[in-house]
Amino acid sequence: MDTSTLLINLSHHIIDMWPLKSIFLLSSLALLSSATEEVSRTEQTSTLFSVEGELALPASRNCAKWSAGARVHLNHGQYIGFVRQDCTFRVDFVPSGTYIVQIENTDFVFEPIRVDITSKGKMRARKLTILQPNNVNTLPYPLRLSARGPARYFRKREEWRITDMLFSPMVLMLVVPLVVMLILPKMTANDPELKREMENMQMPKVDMPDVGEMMANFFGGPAPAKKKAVTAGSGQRRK
Amino acid sequence: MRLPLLVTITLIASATAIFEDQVGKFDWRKQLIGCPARVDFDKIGSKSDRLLISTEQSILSSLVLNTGNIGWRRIMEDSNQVVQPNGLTFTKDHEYIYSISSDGRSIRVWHKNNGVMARQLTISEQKSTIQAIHVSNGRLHVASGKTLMVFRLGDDKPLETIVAKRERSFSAFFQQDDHLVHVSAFPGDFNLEIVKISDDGSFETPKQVIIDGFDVEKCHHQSQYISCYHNSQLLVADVFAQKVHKTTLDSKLQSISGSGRLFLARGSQKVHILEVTSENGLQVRKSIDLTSSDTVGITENHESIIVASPESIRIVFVNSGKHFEAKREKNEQNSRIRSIFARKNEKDWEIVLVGNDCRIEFVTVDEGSKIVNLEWAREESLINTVSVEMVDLPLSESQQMIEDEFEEEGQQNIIAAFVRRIHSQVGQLIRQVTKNVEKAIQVVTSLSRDGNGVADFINSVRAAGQIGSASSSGPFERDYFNLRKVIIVVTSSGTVFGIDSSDGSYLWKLWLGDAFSPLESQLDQKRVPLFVQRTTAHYQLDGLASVVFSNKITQNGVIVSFNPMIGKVESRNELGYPVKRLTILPIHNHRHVFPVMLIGKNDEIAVFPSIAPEELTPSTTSLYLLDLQKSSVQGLKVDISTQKVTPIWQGNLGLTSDDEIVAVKGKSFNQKVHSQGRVLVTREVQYKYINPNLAAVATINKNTQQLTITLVDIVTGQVVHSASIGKSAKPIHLVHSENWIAYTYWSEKGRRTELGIIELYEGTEENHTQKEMFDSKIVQKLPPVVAQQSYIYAQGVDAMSVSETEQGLTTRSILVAHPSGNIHEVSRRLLDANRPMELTPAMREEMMIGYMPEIAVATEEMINYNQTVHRVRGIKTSPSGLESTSLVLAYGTDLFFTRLVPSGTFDILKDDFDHVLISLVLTGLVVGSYVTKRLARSNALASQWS
Repeated sequence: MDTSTLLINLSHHIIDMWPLKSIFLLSSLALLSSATEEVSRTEQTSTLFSVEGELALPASRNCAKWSAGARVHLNHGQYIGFVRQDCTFRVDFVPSGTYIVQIENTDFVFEPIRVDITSKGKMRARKLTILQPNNVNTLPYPLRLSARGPARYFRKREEWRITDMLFSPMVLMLVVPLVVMLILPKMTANDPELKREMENMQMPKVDMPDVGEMMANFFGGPAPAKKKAVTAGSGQRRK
Repeated sequence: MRLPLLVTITLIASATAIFEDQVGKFDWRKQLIGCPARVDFDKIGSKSDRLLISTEQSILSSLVLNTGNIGWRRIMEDSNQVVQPNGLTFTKDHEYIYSISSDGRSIRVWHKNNGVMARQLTISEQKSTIQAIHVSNGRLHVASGKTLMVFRLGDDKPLETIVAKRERSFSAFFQQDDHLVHVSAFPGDFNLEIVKISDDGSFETPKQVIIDGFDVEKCHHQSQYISCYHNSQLLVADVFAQKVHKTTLDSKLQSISGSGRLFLARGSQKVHILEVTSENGLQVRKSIDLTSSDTVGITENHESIIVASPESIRIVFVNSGKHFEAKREKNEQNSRIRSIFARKNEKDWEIVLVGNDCRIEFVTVDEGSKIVNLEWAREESLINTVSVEMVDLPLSESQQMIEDEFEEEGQQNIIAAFVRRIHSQVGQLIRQVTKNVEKAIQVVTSLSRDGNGVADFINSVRAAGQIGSASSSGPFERDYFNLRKVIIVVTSSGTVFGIDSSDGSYLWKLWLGDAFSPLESQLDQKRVPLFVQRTTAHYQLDGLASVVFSNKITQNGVIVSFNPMIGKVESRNELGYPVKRLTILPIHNHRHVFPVMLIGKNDEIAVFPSIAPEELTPSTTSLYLLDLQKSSVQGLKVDISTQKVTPIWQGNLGLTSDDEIVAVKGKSFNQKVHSQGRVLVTREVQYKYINPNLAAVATINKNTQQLTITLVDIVTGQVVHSASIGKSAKPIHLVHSENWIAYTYWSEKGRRTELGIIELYEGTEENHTQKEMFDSKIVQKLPPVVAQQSYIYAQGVDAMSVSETEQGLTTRSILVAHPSGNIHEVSRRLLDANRPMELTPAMREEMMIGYMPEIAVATEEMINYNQTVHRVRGIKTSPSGLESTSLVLAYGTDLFFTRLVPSGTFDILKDDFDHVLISLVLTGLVVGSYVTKRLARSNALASQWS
């Protein structure tokens, strides 16, 4: 049959339908008396269940804003649910089985929970021990997941601190001899006997190249005539 | 014993995390919402306007109208039905959005301003795509499948529910003033059922009409009308006035749409605008001539009709004879427009155009100036990314000069060579000097702008240094470490993009045409293969890349070649047959192009560009391919010179009919393996079994739930190794690289994801023969030594990939994308088949890590830190010029690009290395020593005098 004619057919019915029910009934035998029936909402033996729970955030955070970026995963995204503004969640239409409940968000770390749903819909929550899946450590149901702590994504930059530098072994190795060199002559200055003793001590002469001097010579340009005098002078001063 | 282990692991782990100040320095993310199916203009509070968009990818989102940025975005569960994504059916009131989700089984109520879910209501357990939702009089009316429900707003329990006996095929709510009715149709026996909803929210007894041939496909419903077309006849039924208007138009109709009292009936040549009035019934108000590239839309206030084409936007007033046309900036690479959503405000028209290429464009049209202003545009087809390649930028001028210097080998003239060298070196010098002068000028200008303190000076010097390294503003050429690339992204929507890897900006776009359709792969995935045929290494020649897809109408294969730097199409060839399989040849022709070979259903062969027989070397005349069939696997030999395909082996690899092939992974022919062997604790060398012809096939048995991984040599058909894991399930992911295969599967027994690794070795020195190239045909005396290990992994896996570096020297990392949106980096040092159970001191000395059953997932190891990437389908890795660095692009609902350093940046200075401080200290020391020298001299002189 051609569709257009059928549509016109429909139109007649529509026209008739509202004003006069009786005529409508008479005019068309095709009209069925209330084909749909109201089904009372008696719970059928349902095979799908809901996993419910609540999240606890640190006191400083408000759930109403945070939950915009949060989702609940069952078995790594096999079923998902969203967190409501009051921090509760419900994942609907889950068949019986065992599920891992995880909270997807970028701010906090949540401990995953394992939920077992029996074929009759009985729920059992337990701590997820991934290494020993048979370990039973029952948790209350409805689930309650609390944030273990903020998620850390970054390394800390090494900050420059004065104490770090002072106590580093290199600095200690430099500072201790320096202290000895500077303070010992001062101490001996008050004690002439000790001073004499020190002077008598034969210091082993090591021919160490003086880096500072070398640099100074290098950058100071040619001053060969005075060089000896300078070194002599500095040698004197050292005493 | 555990403590040192943990310490080593944390040491390795901490080396991968980035610093907080590196955020966004070399990574970027593009968040996408998908191809819009429905767009609503909306005002949130009194402030800014938003667009509420539900998309084909089951994403409900809100865009800021002024900027096009995402206000919020909620990713629903993947819909099983393609036609009806989750969240598509939604309605709104002043505060909430009500959307039907879970395949028509529940309603989610969202806050309009921030996307937080307020409530969740259950409809029924029956899935359905026939959905309708309406909110009025403080009540929410929902129809889905068989169910019809009324909720009082704020309640979780329905006021009333009726369930029909059968599934509906059409369902809609109609409202006029305070009267609300629900109209539905049933498939098969052409019933139209009308249910009136009374003022207290209860349903009145439904009335039924039997009608034949009510075709949902050819009907449209709006405010109080159902309009249908058939050939050139148009029928409009008024649901409330109980009147049917019909009219016959002068041409065959193709589609019907409309809003309010207006109907747009589109034929092939023109669109008729009809209006229903109480006095005159259905009347044609206007007819507008159209071309096939035009799309028609109507504003929200039903006063003007928008006709958009790639060149212009025409606005036609319904109530007056006025109309005007405003020119658009034409771009060949944007497709024709699919749908128009428009509204008129006081000043101008605000129009959202959605293209066939999923490009969302927001334009305003001003009547006075007749100008189309492009406010913003979003390329949403990227959500369907299927193929990605990263191509080097062209050589810089100085690199070209160096190339030039060595290019002309034919000339032996010493003087000419010398002159050339001097010339190129002078060029380099000039370049260097100009660059430094530019930098100095930059520093000076920034200094004069910012101030003149010492801190300012240091900061400006630092900033200048960074400008040089980031180079996003610099010329379009290769940077020193080749870290900046052009990312070519091919989508299954028919678009190709060139994206700058330094900041994620679009360089170019290519629209493959309306006839585009992706190829179907053997594993039932859409794919649009992309091949880089010539890189930019040959600086006299431009790069060349090709995509292969099929023609929607003829199903024949089409190959489009383009320049990857600018997106210019070089050639477009349509084959005479559908493409069954295709590959890039491992040999190049005299123009350095690696040809692509396309094999048809009946083994027809075409090679683009063609390759001459004399360009083939004896070792490259034939190619071996693996061909998957229903229950068997075939090895094919393709003779390139004679263009013949011959099967050389066939077998079932020990698979039964219950086995389903879930993944096949070969190796790319240009993968580099740096070290041939691995030094054992005993100081022996264990040589890697590196077979370029090896393919890994993962199958899963439906009955026994057994996962089998078979390693087969494609050339000979020899099964090199086969391993089975019981009680496992999808998702299964496979990575095949060098001499190892890593795989993940869901273990039903342990209820956890497990990560396995298989490594192949040729054994130690005695039975290893050093050879130039691996040859499958040389019979191996001994089968390879196999090491395998499994680890527990506490997260799900969406996609898996492996890092690539230039020389293959750096320890590889496996990248694992989680459903939660994180991308986890697992070092091969941890995912190692040779981690010993007992750690001896000798092993500890070698820094080996003892076996631990679990691979820990720490948030520090997420390469995308808090920049989550959802529904990741693939992760593309590509080497950079630095051996330590691998470039990574993860694609799914979002795109995320970053640099990966699997073993730390061992070949460059740390990015916090302070050049300025070091040079300041150095100059200070030099100056200091000079000054003290002076002082010492005068001091010495003074002491001489005294």
